[in-house]
Amino acid sequence: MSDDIHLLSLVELADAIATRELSAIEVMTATVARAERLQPVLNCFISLQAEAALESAAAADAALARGEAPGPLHGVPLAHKDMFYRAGHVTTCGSRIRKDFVPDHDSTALARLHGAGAIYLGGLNMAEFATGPTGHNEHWGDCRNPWNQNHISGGSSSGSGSAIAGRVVFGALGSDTGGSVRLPSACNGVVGLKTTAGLVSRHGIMPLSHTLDTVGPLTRTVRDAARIVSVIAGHDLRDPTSSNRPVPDYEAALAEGVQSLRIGVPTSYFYDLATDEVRARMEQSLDVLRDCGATVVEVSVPDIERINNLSNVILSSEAAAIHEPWLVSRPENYQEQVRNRYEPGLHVPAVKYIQALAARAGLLREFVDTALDGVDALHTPAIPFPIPTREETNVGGGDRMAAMVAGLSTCTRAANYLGGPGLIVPCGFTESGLPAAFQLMGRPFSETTLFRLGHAYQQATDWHTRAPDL
Amino acid sequence: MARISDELIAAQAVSAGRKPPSPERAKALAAAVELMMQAADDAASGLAFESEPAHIVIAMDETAAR
Repeated sequence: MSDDIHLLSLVELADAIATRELSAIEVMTATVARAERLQPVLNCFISLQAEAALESAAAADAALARGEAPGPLHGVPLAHKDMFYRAGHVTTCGSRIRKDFVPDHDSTALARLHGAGAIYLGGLNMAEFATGPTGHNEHWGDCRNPWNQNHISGGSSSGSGSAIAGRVVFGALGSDTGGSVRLPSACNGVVGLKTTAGLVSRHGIMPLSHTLDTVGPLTRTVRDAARIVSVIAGHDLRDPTSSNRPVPDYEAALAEGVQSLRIGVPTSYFYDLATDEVRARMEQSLDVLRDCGATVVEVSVPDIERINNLSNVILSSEAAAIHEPWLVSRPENYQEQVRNRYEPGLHVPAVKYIQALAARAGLLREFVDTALDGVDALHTPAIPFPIPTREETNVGGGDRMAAMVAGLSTCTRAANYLGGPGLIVPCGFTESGLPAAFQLMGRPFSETTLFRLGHAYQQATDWHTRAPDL
Repeated sequence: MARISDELIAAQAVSAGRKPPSPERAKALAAAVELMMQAADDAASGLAFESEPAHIVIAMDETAAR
């Protein structure tokens, strides 16, 4: 089994360690070796903390030997976007400005993973300050897509997507402010969840937009994501925006199936940029969900472009407020495209920012009353066209580049403004050999439903078991 | 008609103690801000007098999955 450890899902691995079929040290030794071998290929790590991880693995085995009950992630190697704070450890946020930043507290999400037995292997590559959908990073080097290193890994949680698809680690956290968990999930062919706003504490993560930021997992299977969210979700006194709702047993709910569930397919907007082969993958995935027992119907959607523009008002304003001192004192330390993203916010009147915030409640109700009327989830493409190359999306590419970069997030941005969840599930490949994926959007706190649908799809298909040849 | 001019962008930067952007950059910024202001105008036209940002919490609770 040792030779195939990297092919196990997170849940399979956790169960194997808990039953002592595998030792944590055996797993970590194999994981570190794979991470070190693939780092020159994928550049998915900013920091790899092998020695500490191996020590933690030995301690995990010792705990089991003493008869201690294992947590749901006991001994499982995880790595996370390098913006989750660990007291006393450098957290770069993918930037030059924070390359030596040492936080004085732990993020709640990482603390909860640690409490469940997970072992931290390192900080993963990301777009500078979580800004950018492609995975380019001038400071730390571009993150590479395991399926083809000439293509983008997606962003901003680029290393998280690349490391999961490359079978380097078994789960990773990312942040999602407009698609930053979902886009790298789609680009790399892994599962990714943008959680409902307030479901997971944001305490101890680098802020980009106080209103739109969320934390979510990237994993190989939907069941893996359900296990991680069960661990990290729930109220946190240190994040006043976190929800008091009880956390469901997401993993147990997967057994409920999808017989009674209804899926909406949008009749406008989400397919405006879709290519024929992406349309074909979407239709095939809907056929599978029908075969699983779900009902598929067409639904109308409200003006999503308007929602995206309002989302830009909030993101630009809040990011500019956070970065204003550095935009003034150290503008040369930002990548051009990142600085360009924040600068408009310096000029947005406060009146317009507040109006964009105040409109959220009404637009959420409108979205639920139309797009989710009579259905449990909305099914859309994750990205409406095949995954582009790094060159096609690099700076200096002119209007075509700008349109392609903006197009990447056309299907993901609205969920952050509206507050509800979005689940990415890989569903095959396009002619270029890069993954395709669909997105399921739902009502606030409908993660259980999205997980049930995604899990049913993965039970009926084997796309999630395909691994790149590395 | 656009309300955000290149000149206004440059003047705002100077008044806030920042280096003024290049003319090309000021033009791009003016266009981006104008687009966002139009979206906010559009949204504001349907807002009730009592609307406030915190109402999203109530809307999320009332539209949440049961």
